[in-house]
Amino acid sequence: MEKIKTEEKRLLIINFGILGVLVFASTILHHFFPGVLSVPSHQGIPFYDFPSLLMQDLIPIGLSYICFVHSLKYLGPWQASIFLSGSFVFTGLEESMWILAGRFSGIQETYYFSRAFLWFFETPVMACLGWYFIAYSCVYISSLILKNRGLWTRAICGGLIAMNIDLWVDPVQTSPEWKTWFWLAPDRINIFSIPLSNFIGWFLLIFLFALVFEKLPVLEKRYGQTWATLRFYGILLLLEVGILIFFGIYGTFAMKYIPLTNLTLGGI
Amino acid sequence: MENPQSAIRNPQSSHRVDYYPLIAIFSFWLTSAFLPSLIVVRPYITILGVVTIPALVCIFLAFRIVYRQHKMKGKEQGARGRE
Repeated sequence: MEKIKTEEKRLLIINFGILGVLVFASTILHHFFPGVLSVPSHQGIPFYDFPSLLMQDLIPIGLSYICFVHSLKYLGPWQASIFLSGSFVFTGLEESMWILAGRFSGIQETYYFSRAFLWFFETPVMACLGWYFIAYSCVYISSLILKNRGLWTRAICGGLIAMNIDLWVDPVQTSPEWKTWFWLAPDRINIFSIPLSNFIGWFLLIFLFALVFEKLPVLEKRYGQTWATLRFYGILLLLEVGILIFFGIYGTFAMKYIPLTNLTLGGI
Repeated sequence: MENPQSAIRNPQSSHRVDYYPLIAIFSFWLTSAFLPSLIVVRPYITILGVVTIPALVCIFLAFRIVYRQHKMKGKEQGARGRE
């Protein structure tokens, strides 16, 4: 028992230690060396003063904290931490990959976030934490309302709830009054002027993460906590590549066969 | 194959902590969509919120389930206390 506890403690320190170093380095790089990652200018971005930036980070930190308290109670420290860091890394890497691929590939610009105090590569920590508590809450809700259904149904429902909320969040946050993030190129199909691929992405990230997370105890039983953690991250990285390939194929297909469409409501 | 310890699968509790994820997602809806939409000048942007009704209904249903679970547990404990 003592051995498990020590291993768990060591894993948590390594897990959050690496995450902390990455966030610290990314934040320094973003604010003090913006040329390295060609960070776009923040001229004309509203709410860019220090108190506003801090406030915008504090809200998701608070909401993540209460979800973490909930997960600690039911999942224990190891699983709760893996859910937090796993969803943080999974979505943070996915977003950064798209942002940097668009910025440096020269094929097509994608999008970027305009403001935050803390960063994880080119994704604000508030977005990564947002993904964490959205994933946790949505899957929790779907488990409550679809109690006797299978894992797939619950994961699909969780993804759909998140996507449904984003149908409103995205048009509001990209409006000229907020400019929290910018879409630089339209998709072939847009909903309320937001690329359809964004909504598919919201669904896929929550759905896939929920599926993989449920397998964590099986991995733990088979390989022990250390190897289960590594395998868990390995699976997430493979999924990142899978999502990238999926959207690559979707983009190529859409460009060829789908005419430019924008589904609007009241001109939005 | 499913996570037997998962709170996500087996939510059973008699504590207010059970409401935390629901409060988190509702606060997200409030602070990222509803309140910001009030200062956006574009017409219909606040009305656009009707598209999130399915998510709000799900949050409400989950809230009700947790509330009922707590109420039932309270009744059971009360009955045991009387015995």
